Amino acid sequence: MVVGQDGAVTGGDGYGDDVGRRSDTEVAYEQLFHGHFGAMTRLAAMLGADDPEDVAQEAFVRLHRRTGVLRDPHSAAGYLRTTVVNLTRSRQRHLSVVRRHRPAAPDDVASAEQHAVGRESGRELVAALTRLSARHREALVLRYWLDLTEAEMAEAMGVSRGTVKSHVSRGLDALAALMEGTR
Amino acid sequence: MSQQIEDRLRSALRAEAEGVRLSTDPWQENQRRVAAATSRRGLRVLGIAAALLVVATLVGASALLGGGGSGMPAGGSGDPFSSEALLGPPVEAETLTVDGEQTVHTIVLSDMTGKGPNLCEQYATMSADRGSGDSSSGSGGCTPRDEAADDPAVAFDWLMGTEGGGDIRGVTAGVDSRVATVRIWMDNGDMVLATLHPTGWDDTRMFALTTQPPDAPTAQRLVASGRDGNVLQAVDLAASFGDDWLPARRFCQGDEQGQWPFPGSGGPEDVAISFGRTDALVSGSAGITPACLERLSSTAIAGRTTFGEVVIAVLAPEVELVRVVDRDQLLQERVVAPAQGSPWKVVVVRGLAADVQARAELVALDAHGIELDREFLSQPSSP
Repeated sequence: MVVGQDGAVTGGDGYGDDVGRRSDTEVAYEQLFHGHFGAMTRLAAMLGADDPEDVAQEAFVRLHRRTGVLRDPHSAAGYLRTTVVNLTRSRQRHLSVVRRHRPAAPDDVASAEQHAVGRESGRELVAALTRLSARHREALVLRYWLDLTEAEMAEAMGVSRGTVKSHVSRGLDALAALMEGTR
Repeated sequence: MSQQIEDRLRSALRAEAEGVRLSTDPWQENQRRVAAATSRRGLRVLGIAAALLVVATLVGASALLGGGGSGMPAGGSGDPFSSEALLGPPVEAETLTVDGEQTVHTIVLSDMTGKGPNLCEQYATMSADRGSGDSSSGSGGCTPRDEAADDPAVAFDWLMGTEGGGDIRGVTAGVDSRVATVRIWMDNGDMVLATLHPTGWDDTRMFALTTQPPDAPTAQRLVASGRDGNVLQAVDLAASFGDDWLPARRFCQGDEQGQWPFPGSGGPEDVAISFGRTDALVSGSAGITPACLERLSSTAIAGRTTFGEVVIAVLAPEVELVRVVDRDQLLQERVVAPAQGSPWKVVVVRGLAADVQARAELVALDAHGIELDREFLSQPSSP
């Protein structure tokens, strides 16, 4: 058995499927796609991906190779979340380099009314979220949007549960500080 | 304030998510991508078949191979050992004796598809009449470059394991140009420094290590370090390759592997830890009730337990120092100590009152003070 770093090769698992006949894993894959594609695209968007649908598509293509994972819908959902988190983080690194060379956009000029009504609006909070570190943002999105448990978050982020707790706590502190700074 | 911001964040994230628009037919686009990826994967599938032949060869069923092969099946795809595909010189990384036959393990970086560098390996078993220059059998496999290889957190750009009928465990890997050393921690606590060979591509280097358990230990963890000695990436091979690679042996169920402290090391007399491969039993005197850390994790802080004001943590071998911090305030700093017969390390931190444990974090660092992992002491030990 040869196993690759990306886990794509797992002892030939599933490669013997008959051509022309849909296997159980293909059926499972389609069900997973229709059940989770929207959520994975939204997750990528919330994590700041510049092309969230492309990230979600790539995650599903990778899942397609993992026939062993496909047999367990719970594992498959976890695998998808982890892949979306990793892909988004990886792409953001490239994106940040590009942004560094781009002139800063002028601040939006908001009306007095907008200031009065929307100072602490949801949009402002989400905007503040984009200023957090990738890890803090991941932790807060996984916790407060997907309502994942610490164990599920640890799996998705590739860190220990203790580290998850730390990122959530520090992320909330940082978010509160940013919101405080806008007052 | 915290509850308030949590509630607002929940509601804001839900509203934001509802605003994300999807294309009209993502399934069709997905099927196009899957088809393209499947065609790209053809060669890798051949790699699997080849590696399975390695298994056959090494367990002595060489007749299955038909003999006389060069090792890598062509099957309509490129030969990674062909001169057009090579990105650097093939390296005979190891010579093994398997079932009384000499077997050469050759590794190379190759681009046989024009789509990027693959790390490829070939196990070639020589026939008794080697003088004829005819290899009786051989096979191998390839793995593509990790898609996240450009991520600074990734130093192992290629990683491949070969398992041969329970008799061999071979790990072959390639590392990026930042890597100065790779330490291979074996499951018995030995450490092997990998011999890094230039691949001929982008200043990357490659290595291989094959062992034959149970007579020899199995590679458990790879740690790549930079020129300053700082840890760039650690890989737990059992987590990467699955339980078949390193079968779970649990001390709490009777499988002893190692112990801490080292006998005669002058370590604490009131705490003792017995290790299996994947768990640890913490015991001792003075109010310490035996506690089993049932599943040591692949993270740098692998397991932890608390007895009153004493915190005992099991750590990965790349950890050198542990700090207890309360926010930015350093409360304690401890050098970790290795176990005997196991790659794990241990630290015992004393004098941590309950109110301190409620808010303090345990931080694991490498020899250069770079943070590898952290956990709140108030949290249950991971996983």
